Amino acid sequence: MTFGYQPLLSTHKSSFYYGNQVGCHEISLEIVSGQFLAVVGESGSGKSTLLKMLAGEIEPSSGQITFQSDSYGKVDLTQLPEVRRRQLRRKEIGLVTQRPSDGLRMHISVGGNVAERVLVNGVRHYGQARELARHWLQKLELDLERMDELPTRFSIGMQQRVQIAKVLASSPRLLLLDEPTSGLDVSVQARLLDVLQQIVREQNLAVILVTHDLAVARMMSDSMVVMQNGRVVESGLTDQVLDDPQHAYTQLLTSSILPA
Amino acid sequence: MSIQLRVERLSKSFQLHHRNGQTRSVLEGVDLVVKSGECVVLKGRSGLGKSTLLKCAYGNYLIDSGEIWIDKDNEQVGLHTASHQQLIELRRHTIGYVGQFLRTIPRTPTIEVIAQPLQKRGLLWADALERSQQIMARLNLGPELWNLPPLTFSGGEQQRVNLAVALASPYPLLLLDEPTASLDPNNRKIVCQLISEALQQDCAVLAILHDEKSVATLATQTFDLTPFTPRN
Amino acid sequence: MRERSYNFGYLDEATKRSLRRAILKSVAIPGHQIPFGSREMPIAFGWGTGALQINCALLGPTDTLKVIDQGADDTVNAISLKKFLHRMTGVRLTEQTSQASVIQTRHRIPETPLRAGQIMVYQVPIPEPLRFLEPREIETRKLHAYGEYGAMYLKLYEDLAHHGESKSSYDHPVTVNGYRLSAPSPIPKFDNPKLHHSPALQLFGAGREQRCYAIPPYTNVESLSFQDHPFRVQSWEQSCEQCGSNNSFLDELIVDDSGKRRFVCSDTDYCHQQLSKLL
Repeated sequence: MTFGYQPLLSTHKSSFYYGNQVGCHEISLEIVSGQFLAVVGESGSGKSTLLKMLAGEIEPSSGQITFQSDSYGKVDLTQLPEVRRRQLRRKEIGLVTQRPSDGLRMHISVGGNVAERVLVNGVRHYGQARELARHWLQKLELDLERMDELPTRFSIGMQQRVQIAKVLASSPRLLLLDEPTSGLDVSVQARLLDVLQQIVREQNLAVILVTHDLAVARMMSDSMVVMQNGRVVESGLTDQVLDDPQHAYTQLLTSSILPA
Repeated sequence: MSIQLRVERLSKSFQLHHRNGQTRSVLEGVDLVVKSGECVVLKGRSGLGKSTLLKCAYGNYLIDSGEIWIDKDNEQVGLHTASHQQLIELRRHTIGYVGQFLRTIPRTPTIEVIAQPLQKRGLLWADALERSQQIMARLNLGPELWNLPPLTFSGGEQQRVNLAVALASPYPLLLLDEPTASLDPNNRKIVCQLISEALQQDCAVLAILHDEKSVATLATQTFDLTPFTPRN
Repeated sequence: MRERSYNFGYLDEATKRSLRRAILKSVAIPGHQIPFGSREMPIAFGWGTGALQINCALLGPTDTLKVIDQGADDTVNAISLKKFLHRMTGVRLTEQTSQASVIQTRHRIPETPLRAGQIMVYQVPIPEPLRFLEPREIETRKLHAYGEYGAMYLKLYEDLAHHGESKSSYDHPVTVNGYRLSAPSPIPKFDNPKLHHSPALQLFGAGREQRCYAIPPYTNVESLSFQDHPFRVQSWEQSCEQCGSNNSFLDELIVDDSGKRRFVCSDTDYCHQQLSKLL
């Protein structure tokens, strides 16, 4: 029963300020492979800012972000040269944006979008790239007959699956999801989360999911962090935070859930 | 395999920030030990805090003070100081909890609901599915139910799904909150049988049980929680 | 005859100097796009102003100039550009590839092999090969800086997926000097092999985009391809109806309302040369 985990990603007092305005303030958290962490909060809580910082899309104003990389060993993302950060974002870290059109090339076929993820990682074989695209599209339960169509011909829910398939195609260690199911119908959301959970289990991925939906957090995550006004007000195992909330804000959030 | 749950001077209260910061104390200074092969049944009137104690032992509730130790083989882990990852790991491999509610992703078929935790514990998916089928058979959950999502089931069936998760490959420490409450006498007997088998495999069981027959069959000792609750 | 009321080569001396510096720089970094201060010319952007400015800066009184458009010397565009350059410099004009010291071209490389000392100047609409993928200049610059060229294969992927073969029959991307990804201008795939190890200096000008780039003589130029789909040039079953050539790039002409087709060499000079050999 020895625990010898190397955290896959850890942040130490990472902050981001929009000028004088707090985006997020001194966030410290840790995640290991196989762990599913939900970041929960209302609009303006700073959760999306936090995710962008972790994805390397914005540079923290202060603090460190350490990532255990297969390619570069243990690295501080804030100190890493840009060319290596880009490489990590192409391969080991996958970001799924809230709007699929932000994460996909809408004028490239669905199969092409997924294939790109392996082409940018050195694959120079058409058959191989196409086969990988087929594999991941199928995993996300998309119709292979349609893989040469443009994303615009698919529903938003399916576009989101394409985005997830694309990000998974490089076999990332860490998956970052920014409200991936907001704006989707409830049944579509349920199916997507089903598929996602299965893949996460199989691949032993670490996942950070940003959501305002506590039900989704409860369903999907092992542990949870609650944000308010750019700060973490509470963190713990998901069921503990939802069933035994300590902080006033968390108590407010959990009591506001309408019973199904 | 040897396992022991040690609860020392455990105190738990709830502070309700939106009810004028009212604090409700539930448990005070609980001392309790559950050893391998033992079944300790909690006693005390309803609403006292029996479920609360189980939830503290699972990490579902935080404690105000005191210590909760899990001694497995030669190692000790303090739940009260464990990291999130340690707790997740403990719940994956060591501590099984059967509560009064069943919570699953809406459309997952029952056979997978039971197989998923087994997969997380290291079983190959095919083996996990097989074990899932075996335990469902023993609990009288027929094959017609295997591919249906359990949220469509009756209360008794859902309870048996909950138990299947815990007992398919029994966790070394089992925390059971009214495992037989919604079951008919026949199924009660089966569940008691399964818990006995777990005890014979040196599992430790802390349970809340009301039906006297089950208590008589399973309890190594009973533990009255009343002295550890606030006098009102 | 050169028109004396204009400066030699139309552009002012300072502009010509800055353009020559840009060209030198581009020769020093093969395939890399160099920005230059593109001037307003008497023809609109999109009609060859980039190549035109390069020629205005390069041509001297002893040069002989050929201008082709889709391989032909006598299209409206080719003739306009040729006339303008002649008025601004007084240089000799020719239609024979072998006689020219400088050749300005749109969309083709002549069939007649080039020799050392000749300069090819290509008209380029979009100098950035990654533009189809990435509209942001700041991002394409990073892609070049970091050598992140994997996404270019996406174009080949899309063509193969939709058409079963590389449809980029024009402007098929190349790697210059083993490293830099370049757009060879909208020349047909057929002409890509001519870029490789050419004895001539090859200059590329994009006026609207304000970029120039170069392939120095005897430089490695490789067309992009997948391992399992090697680069292949176009071929025709037919041969030229005028001169009988079966190894030149053929234009397909529709000659009447019933859709009757004729295949003839796109390179008019080459066709004449072949014909004169037959006679």
